[in-house]
Amino acid sequence: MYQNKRYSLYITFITFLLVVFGVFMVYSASSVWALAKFNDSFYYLKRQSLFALLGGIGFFIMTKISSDFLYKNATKIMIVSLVLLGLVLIPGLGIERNGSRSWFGIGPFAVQPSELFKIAIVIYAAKYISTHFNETKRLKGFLSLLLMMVIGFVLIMLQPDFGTAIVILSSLVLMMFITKLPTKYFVMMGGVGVLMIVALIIMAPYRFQRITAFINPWSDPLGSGFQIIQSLYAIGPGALLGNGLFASYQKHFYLPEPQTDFIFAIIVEEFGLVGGIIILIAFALLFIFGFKLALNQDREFDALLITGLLGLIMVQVIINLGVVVSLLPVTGITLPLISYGGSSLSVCLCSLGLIASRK
Amino acid sequence: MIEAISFKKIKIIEVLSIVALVLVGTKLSYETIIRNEILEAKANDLWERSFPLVAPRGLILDRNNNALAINNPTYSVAVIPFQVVDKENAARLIAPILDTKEEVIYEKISKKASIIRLHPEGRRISLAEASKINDLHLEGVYLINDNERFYPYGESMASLLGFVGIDNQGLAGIESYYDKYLTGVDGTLNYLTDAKGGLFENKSSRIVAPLDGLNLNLTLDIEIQNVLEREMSNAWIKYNPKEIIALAIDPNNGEILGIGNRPTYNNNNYQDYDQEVYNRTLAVFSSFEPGSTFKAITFASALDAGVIDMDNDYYYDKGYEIVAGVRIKSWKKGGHGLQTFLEVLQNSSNPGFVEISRRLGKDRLYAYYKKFGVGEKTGVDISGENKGIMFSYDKYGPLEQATSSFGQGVSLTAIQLATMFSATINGGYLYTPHIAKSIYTSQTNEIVYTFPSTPKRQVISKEASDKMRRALECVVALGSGRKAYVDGYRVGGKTGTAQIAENGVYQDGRYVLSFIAAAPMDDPKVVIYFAMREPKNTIQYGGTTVGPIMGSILREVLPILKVEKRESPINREYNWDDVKSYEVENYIGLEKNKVKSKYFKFAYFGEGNKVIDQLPKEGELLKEGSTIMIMLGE
Repeated sequence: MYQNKRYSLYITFITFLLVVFGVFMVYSASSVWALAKFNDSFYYLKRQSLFALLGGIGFFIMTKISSDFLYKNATKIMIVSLVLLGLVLIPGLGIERNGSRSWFGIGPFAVQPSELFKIAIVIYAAKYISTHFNETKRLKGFLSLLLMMVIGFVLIMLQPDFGTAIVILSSLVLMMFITKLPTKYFVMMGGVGVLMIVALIIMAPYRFQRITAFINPWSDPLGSGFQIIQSLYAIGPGALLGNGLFASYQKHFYLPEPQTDFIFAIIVEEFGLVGGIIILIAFALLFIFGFKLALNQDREFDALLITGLLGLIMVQVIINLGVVVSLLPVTGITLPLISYGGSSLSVCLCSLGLIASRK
Repeated sequence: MIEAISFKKIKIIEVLSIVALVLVGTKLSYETIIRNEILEAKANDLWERSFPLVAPRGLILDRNNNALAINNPTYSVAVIPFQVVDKENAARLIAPILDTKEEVIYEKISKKASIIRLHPEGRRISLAEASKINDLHLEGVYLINDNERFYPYGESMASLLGFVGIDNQGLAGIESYYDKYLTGVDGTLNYLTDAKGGLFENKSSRIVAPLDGLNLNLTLDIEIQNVLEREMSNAWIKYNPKEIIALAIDPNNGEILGIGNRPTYNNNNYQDYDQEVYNRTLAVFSSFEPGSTFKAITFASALDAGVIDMDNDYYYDKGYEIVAGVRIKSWKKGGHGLQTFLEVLQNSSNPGFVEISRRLGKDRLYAYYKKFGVGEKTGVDISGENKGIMFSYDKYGPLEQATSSFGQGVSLTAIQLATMFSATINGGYLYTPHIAKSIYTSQTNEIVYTFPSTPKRQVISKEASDKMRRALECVVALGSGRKAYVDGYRVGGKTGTAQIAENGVYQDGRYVLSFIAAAPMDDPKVVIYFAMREPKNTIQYGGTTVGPIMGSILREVLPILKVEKRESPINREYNWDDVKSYEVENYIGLEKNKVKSKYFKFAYFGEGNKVIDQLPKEGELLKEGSTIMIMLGE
């Protein structure tokens, strides 16, 4: 279809525009820290460029993979990624960073199996829903999907990586939402979700502090409110047009690891509200063209796959930006395509490769 | 066609995602546009560090702009730890210059702070030390201009001026009392740094200029002060007393022209002295029985109340008066005999003052003393003022009334006495004494504030005050204060010799000798008080010992005040050409009917037929036609 080709082209274009800008901003945001930590201001730039290259290759490989192949191998991919998720928890195999055992070390790089799991479960869910669509009018029809989801969710929470778990859960809910499952189940699920969040907060009270911190970060300026305040100190002074290229103050050790979760704050500090809005529009266009593509699919599997993969990116974007502008509590989710991070960037590009190539 | 998918629901998700992004965009606009100023200000506080710029303290000057407290420029060392690359090396180089241990410096410059002052070893260092540090060219090590207070007159006025602490804060004396004017507002050099204290390159710094402290002019005159200081130093050596107090004030407005005491200290090295020495300006702190100097106050009260006519009322001093069963003696054995009340004052006759106190009575006497401010702080702008001691009305019995009239039982500070003495001769006004004259800014020399001289109240009438001037002049010209007489000047005053009481018991041989004087008596310009506590090797009599000191003080102070020399009419009285004067003969011992003279008339007092006293005495010159008082007895 000619229309779909055009959407694919737009998606590809926006994707790489964001990636190139992201690499550039990773350099701007990270150079000060990089110089201090590694005595090389280009440290993060070099690595992110490499990730972008690998991700780009991944993107084009994914465009060559047919829906049939994915459909047939969905279960295998799912099992492999579940095994990896299990293995990463074993001390010695998995590397711990910032309190989460989420990485495999490969040479100088670290790979996050949970990133792979995101794609795997979406593919699996797309297949499962499309083959069992007759049963999807009732919740019972989702049982084995729910089982997979719970296993994956539990494994990720064991790392623990609360943010990724939320993203995956949200994406799956979106996939189920677009089936003809009655809305009442989602209301129920919402209730269960709230209960789970309450349970999680009771299990780890620091999460509650994070929640209250975003409402009034100055109540605990050196503790839970610290990152939010530092983020606002980048955004607020940015004003309409920003301080100008490379002119962020907050990246000078004030904002911790500005190249990851809070890169959007640095973008606004340097390019102002205008720069921030342009990024928001870019993401909005990405979602619009993605959903248009989903609506134009002939097969349920493809439509579900696009929605699921797009849902993953969408949820991450919204949560990350929500955190940076202090609408949501701090979760530790990076900004897709822009934040520094190899696994995240590669998997995100692969996802978009899969989306863009659905005819 | 897709069966399992709801297109409508995909649309819903699409719309929700856009709504979410719009929400983010809205919040973003709110933070960048509406909250921009607030957040930028807060962020600036976070980014900005400041380097102190020390404000010079205001100078203290005398009334003629002679500097009494000045600032000497010095340097202090400040370090921005983050900028010091090799801290060990820096410590090794700096330590010997500041005469301290390497570890001490190392520990300080390794602290996590944006800026560190090397305190105390790096404070107020000499120019030589500063230039050595400057020559090291160490990055992150800075020299700040600092000021060190210096008192050019050192020990003189130390108690008055006080001193400042390491941060130039006033700790004693004027420095402390007027600290708020003298202290400047330190400025800052503000610059932006990263979170570790490193300077941002190419970012301009902002200077908040220091605001110099205000200069303070005192009412003090350094020339007068120098005279007082010299006389105190001489007396200190000659008489070896426990304390000396000297005070000069302008009786017409309460301005203190000179104030000093011994013992003193050097306020440039105040650390070497006891707190007791440097916290006490004795003229306001030390209170003691005034003795006979206080008779001036009683006398003025009596003149104001009109209970005596000092020239035409007579009192016969038989050597004592008995009050409430206690015999109050005259200092002269056998008494001064028949005297006018002016002579009662001149001779400092205690029984005469008992008579005055009786004439005034308890209520009036008490009220006058209260009005003069006995037992009440003067409110002088010098810290540590004592209010002295005054009887309560209930305990003010006949004996207390009698003794207080000649200065016993009450206790005064020098400043109180000088203030009330001023009121007796300035037309009757009691002023609040003060040392601060005005404050002005060093930048524009513009006077910011002039301290007012307003009378607190009128205590006696102008007429009574005029009489007091003549009375006091007579004390010096003819009476007990003769030793303070200065040729060519019209000096008035009163001596004082007060026994020191400890725990209510008068101590043998321990006296406060004092003299209070004013000049010139036709238009008093200055009141000077000089007192010594327990002087040794001298006659324990105020007139004899302090009189000559007062004389030499006045001899120098009056020319400073540009007082013209002029002869006193009191001496001239005897030299009038148009009326002949004759020597008075002796009539004492004669029968009443044998009293005769070609030149004089006679007036008789007392009962009896024999002359027991006469006034004037034998040998004095008296104008023809004058009356000689004859006291009769058996």
